[in-house]
Amino acid sequence: MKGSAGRTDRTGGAEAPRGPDAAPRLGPEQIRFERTGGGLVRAILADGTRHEAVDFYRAFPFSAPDDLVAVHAAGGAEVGMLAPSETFAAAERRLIDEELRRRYFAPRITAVNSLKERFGRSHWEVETEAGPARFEAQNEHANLRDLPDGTLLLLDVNGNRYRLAPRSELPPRVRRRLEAMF
Amino acid sequence: MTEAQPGAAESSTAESSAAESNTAAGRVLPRLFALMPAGKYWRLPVIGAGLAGAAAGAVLAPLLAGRFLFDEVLAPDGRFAGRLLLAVGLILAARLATVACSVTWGWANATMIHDLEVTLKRSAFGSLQRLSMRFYGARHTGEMMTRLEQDASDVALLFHIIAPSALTGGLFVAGSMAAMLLLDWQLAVAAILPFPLLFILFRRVVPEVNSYFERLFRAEAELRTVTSDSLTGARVVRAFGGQQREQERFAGPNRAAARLGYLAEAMVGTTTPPMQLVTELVLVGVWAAGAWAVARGQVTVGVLVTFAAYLAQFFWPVGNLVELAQDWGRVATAARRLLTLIDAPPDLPEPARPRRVAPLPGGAALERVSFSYRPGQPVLREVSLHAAPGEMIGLVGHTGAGKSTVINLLARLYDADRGVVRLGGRDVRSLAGADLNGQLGVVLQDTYLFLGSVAVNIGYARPGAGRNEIIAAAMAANAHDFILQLPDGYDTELGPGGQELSGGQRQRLAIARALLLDPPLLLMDEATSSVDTETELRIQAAIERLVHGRTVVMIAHRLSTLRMAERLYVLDGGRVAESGPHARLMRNGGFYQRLVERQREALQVIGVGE
Repeated sequence: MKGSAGRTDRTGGAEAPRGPDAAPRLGPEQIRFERTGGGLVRAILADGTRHEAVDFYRAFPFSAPDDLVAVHAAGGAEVGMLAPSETFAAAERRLIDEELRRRYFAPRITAVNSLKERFGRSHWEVETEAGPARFEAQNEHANLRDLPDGTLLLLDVNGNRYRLAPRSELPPRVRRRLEAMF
Repeated sequence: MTEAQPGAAESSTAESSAAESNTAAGRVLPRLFALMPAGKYWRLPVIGAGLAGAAAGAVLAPLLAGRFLFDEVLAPDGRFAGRLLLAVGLILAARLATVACSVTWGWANATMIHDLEVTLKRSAFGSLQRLSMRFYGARHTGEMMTRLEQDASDVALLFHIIAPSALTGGLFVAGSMAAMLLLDWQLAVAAILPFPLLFILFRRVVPEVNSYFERLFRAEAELRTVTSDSLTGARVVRAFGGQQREQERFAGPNRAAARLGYLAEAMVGTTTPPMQLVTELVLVGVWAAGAWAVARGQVTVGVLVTFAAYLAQFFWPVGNLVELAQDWGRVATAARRLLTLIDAPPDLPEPARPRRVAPLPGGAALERVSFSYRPGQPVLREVSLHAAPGEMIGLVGHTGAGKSTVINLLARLYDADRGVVRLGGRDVRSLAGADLNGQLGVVLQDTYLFLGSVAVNIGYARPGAGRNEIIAAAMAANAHDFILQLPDGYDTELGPGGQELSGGQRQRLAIARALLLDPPLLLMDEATSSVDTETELRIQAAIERLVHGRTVVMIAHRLSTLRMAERLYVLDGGRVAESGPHARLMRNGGFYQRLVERQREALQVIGVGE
């Protein structure tokens, strides 16, 4: 595989695939999806191969969440990378979106009702777009991450994830506490 | 790397000493000023004017609040008798002007300190990027971090404290002395009588204080080095239960630094009060003489109050002289160390007329190359080897045979002592460093991953590479599957050194990095030595894709990895013991054949088999 990654494309971002050098992409002609009776997702390839209970993975969940989605068969083997979602029919697109939302569930925090610190842990009482929540986070730098779009990703002690507005849009009280704690 | 690579302190010491001559104390200040951005020199007169204005205001204040208020306003026969509002207004105006001047110089000074610190750190860091591996071999990370962080902050003391204090102090001394001479020249002369005594004290104390602080800086650097070393090896420390030993290792330099700090501070602390006492005794004497003169009607109360205020102002800088000298010692030491680093000449000089070749044609060769990390301890002796464009050669030999050194020379991490290293048929010393970058892909045994996402780490080889290219490279390196299983895929942030990944995973990221670069020449040093068999198979599959169609020089502990090599060079004791294709070397029944047999036996013993 000489030159598996070519020397010419230096665009950054998610450029169009470039023949054999780029990761192959599966479009609607190569793969179809349907919901199984048990609520899982079945993938059917153009050659008739069926993969029950496939999983979807975002290759770049933060920097390119809507592009470069991989499909994995039940055993973990990769079926392929999907072409941009807009190429799929609306129903399939919805199905893919539902699966991705579930896997990468990270509700946006809309209001911070209470934020206290005790013994290196922050105790949060918040309103999220998915309802109210109370959680604790270990006050370590790695648990509050600045994402490429400016928003913040907060990880609680159980590994749950929450999205916070960009620092500049946070209430000054919350911003100051975050700067002091993480 | 298989063989030891000693510090090579001699060469780097030469680098340092060459630069040392450029950083004698007298040249420190001009060099520091030269480092400032040229467009920002306008701040110097602003700072000077601000400081002078503030000092003038301070010098004027006693006159207004003393002689003018008492003798001209409050005295019934004064020229401005009863005009208290005028006096208060003038005092207030002088105070406001002083504050305005202080704010001006404070603002300009703050921006200059910031710029100087940034420039110093940038220049020093740039120098670290430019300097050779010999330089790094002779120094500890802690020492270099100290230079970058602590020393730059120490140099900033020059503008934080020393320059303002010296300038203000100088103006105070001159202004106060002039005012005192005008008020009463006899008292003024009497007031400066203890100066010679203060000067002698100062001359004796300052060199001692500076000496203590220089030793203290070295002890602190040693402490940082031990700390950095111990924390970097935290896993080994815990694995071997070495916590207590590490505490003891830390305690030594910690105690030494604390003791030197105590001695230095004690010297400052014990010499400053006597110097201040001398000045206070003078002040008491002046008050006594002044009171006596007032009682006899020789001077007015206003003159005495004003004179005493000027006298306090006159001695204020004198009392701070030792501390100022101590700060200067700190600044000069830090500046010398930083400038030594900034001025250090590279021992891999760029050619005067570089031969521009991009892209570099394939092929690599060593022609009668000898090399040593330390004088008198040769690692390579008259080594010649050759890889034609598109050809893969393997380096085989015991640990310490010189295999990694060949890779180091081909990557131009060092220059050969004798002989010629050629890349694409050109002597590497005739190639510009910029041309060489991007032409060489290196996969080392110890893969280093930087802080940042997985994608950034793969893309390190070629900034600006697209996401699809990064994925394609990771797929070819058999890394894509495990990357997608990470919590955030290619956006997963890696901690220091990528320690959360296994050795095989890190290795595959390194191969992806090299694949993304797509270099005509690839150097691989023990890429599969520390991984399990399954991972090795994955890596080998990735390597097979990687090596196809390029010039490859590969070192592999497991000889099976070298089965694709057209030719093998067997190194022994820094010399090429034999060379040729695998089959011929096996037929020859020499060193290589014995090596293969031994490895085969070893693998059979552990039940792996070739």
